[in-house]
Amino acid sequence: MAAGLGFKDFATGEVLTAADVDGYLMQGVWVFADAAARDAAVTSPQEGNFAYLKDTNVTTYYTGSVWANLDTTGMTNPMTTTGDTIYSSSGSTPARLGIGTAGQVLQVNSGATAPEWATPAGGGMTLLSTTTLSGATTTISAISGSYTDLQVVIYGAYVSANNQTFLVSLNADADEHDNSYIFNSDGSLSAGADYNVGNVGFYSIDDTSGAQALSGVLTIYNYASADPKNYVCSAWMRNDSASNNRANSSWGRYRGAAVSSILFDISGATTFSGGTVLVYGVK
Amino acid sequence: MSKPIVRIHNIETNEVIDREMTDIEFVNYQAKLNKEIERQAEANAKAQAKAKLLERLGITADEAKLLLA
Repeated sequence: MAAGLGFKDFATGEVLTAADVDGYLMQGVWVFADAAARDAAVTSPQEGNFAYLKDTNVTTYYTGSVWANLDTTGMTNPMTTTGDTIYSSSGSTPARLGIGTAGQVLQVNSGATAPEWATPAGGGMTLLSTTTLSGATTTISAISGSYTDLQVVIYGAYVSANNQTFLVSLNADADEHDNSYIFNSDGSLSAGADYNVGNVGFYSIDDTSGAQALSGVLTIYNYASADPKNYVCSAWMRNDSASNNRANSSWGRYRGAAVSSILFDISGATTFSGGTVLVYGVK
Repeated sequence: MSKPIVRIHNIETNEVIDREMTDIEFVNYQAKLNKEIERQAEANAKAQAKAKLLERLGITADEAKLLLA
């Protein structure tokens, strides 16, 4: 049998050759009683030939090397609800996986046999807020207790008078705090001044134009716990024209209550001229 | 006399309020300022005492650092 030649639009009066008959007209679906009859009749099958077998009601096609059955059964759709997905269960049977809940991720189940939606075990940071520093103080309140740690990023902070100290207090609590200690950039250690309230991070700020603005990162570990393990690490940097970039870090400890607010303050009678605070929840 | 303005950002509702300090906040604010004045006076006194000592010894601050290193 000749190989299929594709499609041809015959013109009026055109002579129909044997090659035309075999290559075009004979390229339909041939009907046989069974596979034996097909193989006896089509001794040189060509890729793309089709034959229907009446005994099994199966349509076969020639791949170029063997006759294969054309799958006409399809798949029964197991989906029932918006958001469903389909996966192959045991025996390659299509199965439905219903949509998970908000924030869940797709993972493999404990038996490594099927996919499932699950709440992430941990890791990652979530931006909780973006705040512009303003006024004599700025307080970020109603901080969710749903995370393990807090990471607070401060950048571009400057004030309306020189020679100030930038203060950070947790819960603005005057009693429940330990003083901070500053590890200076020259390696020396100095005790942090007790600035009236529970400051755990502070650094000098000396900029009324924004050109020498203060930046810092404050990490509060175990912030949602009331036990005395709310260790705080802060790292500060100030762009200082006199001594280039000044940097230091400090450690403090806050105790007594879960941290639900952070107060940003200035030591003197001045106000914030600019600066942004990002609060991240860390799991 | 109006009191200083403070900003409160409730991040649960994302509401930002700029308002005057309450009476209690203002009392704490003034106490903080007084403490800062004391701190600065103390720092100035220390700096002056240090300068006098260096003058009496006839050395510079850098030379003093070298001695203590």
